[in-house]
Amino acid sequence: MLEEGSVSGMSSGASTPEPEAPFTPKFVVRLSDHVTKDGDCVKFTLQVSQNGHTVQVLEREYEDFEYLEHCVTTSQPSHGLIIPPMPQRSAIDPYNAEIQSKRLMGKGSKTLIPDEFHKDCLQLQKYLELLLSHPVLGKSQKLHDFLTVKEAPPRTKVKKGLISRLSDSLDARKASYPDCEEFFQKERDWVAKYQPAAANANDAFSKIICAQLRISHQLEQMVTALKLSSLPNDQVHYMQFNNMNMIFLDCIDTLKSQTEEKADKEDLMFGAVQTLWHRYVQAENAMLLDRTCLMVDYQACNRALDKAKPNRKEAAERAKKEAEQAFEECSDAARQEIKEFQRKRVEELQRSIDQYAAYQLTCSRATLNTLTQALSQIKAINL
Amino acid sequence: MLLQSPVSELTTPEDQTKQEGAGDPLTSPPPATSFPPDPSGGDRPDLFESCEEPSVGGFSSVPLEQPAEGGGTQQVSTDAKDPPPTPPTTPSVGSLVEIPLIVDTDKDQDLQPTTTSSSLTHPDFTLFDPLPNTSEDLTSSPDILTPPETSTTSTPTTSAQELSASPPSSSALLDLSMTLPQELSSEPPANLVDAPSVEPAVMSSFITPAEEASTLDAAAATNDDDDDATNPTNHAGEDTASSSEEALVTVYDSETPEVHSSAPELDADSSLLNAPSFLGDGETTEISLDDTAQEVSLEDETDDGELFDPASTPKLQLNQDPPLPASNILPPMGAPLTPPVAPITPTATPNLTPNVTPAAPTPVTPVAAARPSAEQLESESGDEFIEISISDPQKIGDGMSSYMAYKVTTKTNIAYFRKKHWSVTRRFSDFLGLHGKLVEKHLHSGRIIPPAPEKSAIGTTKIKLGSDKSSDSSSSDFIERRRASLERYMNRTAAHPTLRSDPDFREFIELDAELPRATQTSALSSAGVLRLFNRVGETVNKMTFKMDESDQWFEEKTQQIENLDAQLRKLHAAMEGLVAYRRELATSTASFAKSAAVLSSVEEHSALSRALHQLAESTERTHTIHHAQADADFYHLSETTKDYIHLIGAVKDVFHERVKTFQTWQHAQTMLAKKREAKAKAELAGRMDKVQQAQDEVAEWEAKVERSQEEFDRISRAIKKEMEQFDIVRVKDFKDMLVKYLEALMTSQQQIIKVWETFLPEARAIS
Repeated sequence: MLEEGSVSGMSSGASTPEPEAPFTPKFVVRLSDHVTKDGDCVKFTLQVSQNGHTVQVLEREYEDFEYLEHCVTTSQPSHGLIIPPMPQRSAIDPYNAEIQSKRLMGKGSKTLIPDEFHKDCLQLQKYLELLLSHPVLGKSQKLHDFLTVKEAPPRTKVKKGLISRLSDSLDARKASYPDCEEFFQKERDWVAKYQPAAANANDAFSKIICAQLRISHQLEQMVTALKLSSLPNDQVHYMQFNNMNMIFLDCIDTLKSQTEEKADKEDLMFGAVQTLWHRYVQAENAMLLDRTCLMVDYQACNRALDKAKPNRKEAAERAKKEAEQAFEECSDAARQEIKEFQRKRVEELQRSIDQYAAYQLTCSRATLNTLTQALSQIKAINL
Repeated sequence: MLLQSPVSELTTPEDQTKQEGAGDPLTSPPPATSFPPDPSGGDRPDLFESCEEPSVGGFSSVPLEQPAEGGGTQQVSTDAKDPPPTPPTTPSVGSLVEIPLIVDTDKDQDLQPTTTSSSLTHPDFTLFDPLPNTSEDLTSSPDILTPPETSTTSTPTTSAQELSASPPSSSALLDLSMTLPQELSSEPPANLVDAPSVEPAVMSSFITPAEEASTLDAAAATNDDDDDATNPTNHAGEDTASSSEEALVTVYDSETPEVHSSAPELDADSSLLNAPSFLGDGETTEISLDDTAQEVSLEDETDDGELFDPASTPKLQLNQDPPLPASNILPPMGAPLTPPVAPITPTATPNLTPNVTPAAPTPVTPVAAARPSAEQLESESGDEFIEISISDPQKIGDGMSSYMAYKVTTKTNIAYFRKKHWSVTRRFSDFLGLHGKLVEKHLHSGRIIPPAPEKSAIGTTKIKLGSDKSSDSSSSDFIERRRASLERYMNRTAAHPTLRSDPDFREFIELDAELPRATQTSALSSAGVLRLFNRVGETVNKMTFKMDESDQWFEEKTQQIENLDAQLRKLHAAMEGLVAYRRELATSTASFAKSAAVLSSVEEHSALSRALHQLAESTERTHTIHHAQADADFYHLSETTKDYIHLIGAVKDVFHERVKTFQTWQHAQTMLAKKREAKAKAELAGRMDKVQQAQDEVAEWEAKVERSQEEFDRISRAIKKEMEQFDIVRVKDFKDMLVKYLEALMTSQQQIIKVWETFLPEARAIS
């Protein structure tokens, strides 16, 4: 995403982008690491810049983002658009944090993972970038207001009512309708297959991260145990023992921080990307479902027109036309969206795999280096 | 050898006649006195000659081995058989008449010097040697004082001779001068007994005199084999020891080992029996006995000497046992038959009657004297190496009665092992049995005995019930873990110079046959329950008895050990967690690899699909690396730490052993104080009879105090030395562990690097 940001910086001259040319986001947003936490209220600092100049520095809460999402998705006809997924809210209160920690570190663990706002920042930043780079959503006035107006817009609690949920579940039943277009049918099949696989992969990967965190935790415990086991320095071999102990201890300590960092980075670099795109695919699925609903409506209108009595024919004709138009528009948008989405997805996933592998290499090299040093030091001690 | 075995066999069929024949002269005085004159008259000149003129040259040069074994063993056997047929007084003559031919020949032969080998050529006849010999001696002994002399020169021939000869000697003080050399000549062999006594067979020979003859032969036979097998050096050591000490004995020494093993036995007997006879001035003879014992043990030097000195001292004590009955009986003199019987019975039960009073100085000195030699040995073991590997775990049998057998392969350059490289098969309980034996023998001398792996009822039951081709990973894991821990255990034991030269250890790694089943190891057996009780008792003792520590070193060390224990436990817990999570990492990596593969098959974009496929393969490879790393964590770190936790347990045991010794000492001291008080009271009361008794008791307890104090000092010294060694080894082990572990970590990191190095260009080529 950063690249796109830089691209936008370069092509800043184009204030009104042509529809054909690749859409360039209007703003570049950076969430600084400066996060203020006051009880349950966490404020993120946004630095908004345009054409390389900082336009605004604002403070926003997670709830503001939620409201933004609501506005963006409802303020304009969003049929056929794949809405970038909003990052999940991270555990802020101690209770949730404990649950989260136990999930990651194992049930017996007593450590509490501290707030990791930098992750939230990165994810929110990513979300804003995705919104801004979206050809349709990026033009949304609400988004622009969100980024330029100092005071956060008064927000209303967005709640999904029972009715909307019910209609959602009714809509979900329509997912099995065969599609009239092969392109969309293929896409729907693919999404159906891809989603569980991606979910599995995400779970497995997060387990790897967990295991690494736990390993680093155990290494830390080992370090404390080793620290205790030093002997009085009154004899030659005791001194040797202490020396070796110190070297080993340092080595383990380094390994510990390396493992921890590695887990962290891997999570951001690969895990987060995987999760994001997994959720993005879910958004695509929602979009496809929406389109299928339109298609079903259209078909229903067609049938109604066929069966319509002459006095109702006109109304049916109108309804059919409306439905047809909505469906056609949606399909056109969707086709565009999907293509763009897939392009982006492949590109980002590939890059993340690449980064992941490269990072593995650097990590292992660093570890190896630490180990080699420790080993040579220990070997140098003659008993 | 060849001669012996037939003889021993022969003794059994002719037990009947022998008993009759032998029983007569000994048990019934009349025939003895009536018979002997002729043989004794004819014999005595020989004996005189033998003692006076050719005592050294002529006599000893006579092939001693044969008479020694033939005559000697049978003599013993007859002696042994003496007690059972108690009073067949009258039939004696009849029985002799029944077999007049044999008796005649016997007499003829015995008219010739008794020691000539002629008797041996006809084993049948030799059976009857005892008859004339004993009878003749019996008669001769009361008359003159010389018989002892004759018996000494002819020691190899008969012990009974001496038996009979001794009573007179005790009566006459003049003997002393004469008998002292005799004692000397008989003692070195007596000490030689120490060495053979390593073999259980010989030991058992002391237990029941009835079996003595046969067991002696057996012992001689087994001695030969086993000695050569297990401790060839022993023999050399003994030989040189005895030869250097005694010119008289050199003659035996040059002979085959058979002579050694059998002759010493006899001599030991003879010396045992002689001892009481010198009670009159008992001190001198006893001291001479002790001295030689000490010297031999010194020169013996291998640990057997040290170990079995205590075992041999009881025998010496035994000698002193008879005095009371002997001296009581001797004065009458009219009944010379009873004394020989009396001394025999104590030999029959040597271990059951450990006499306390006179033995006081004996047990301490030899041990103390032997110690430096053992230490010397420890320090010498610089460039020796022994390496034991355990392989091929095999399940033998079916169901609950099945067990695992392991191949124990040893590589060494230590001289006392016969080979450089060999292997034997042992089952798990054998290892536990070995540990039990070592603990029994060495714990009280302050040695840290490496603990054997724990028995795991669950693990073994799983394996027992599992099918033969159990590809079950948990059970194969279990077996591998156990194999590795057994290997570490064996090497740790072998690294200890004293433990590795222990005969049980050597038998364990060398004897290419099944060991006797160790029954004490099963957790559910009666022994197990008993052990549990003992352990509970010990724990209570440990908790209740607070020793006021006089030694700063021990105080510090105890504290240190406690700390170390706690630290190691903590470390071990962390390591266990590390291993567990490393395993988890490995499994989750594997599952990620799988789901990545699925993802790649679902992915429609071909490049991304290929990239994902590559990723799946790479993670699959890292999975195996992580797994290996988890194993390395486990075997290098966790298990070593666990071993050390157990070793610390062994150290604590040794420390506790010292506390126990301290308790004994304290107890002895309080007892001594009490006895002294009692003595003072008695003196005040003026009751002289009681004073004497009290005096004895005081002396006894004084000796005990001295002994236990020495024991305490000794164990304290030993522990200090052991701990020093332990610390050094520990540091070394720690370094080894770190080096191995870091190397393992490095290998896995290198492998990971390789994996991703191959991945990257491919992934980039795709995109």
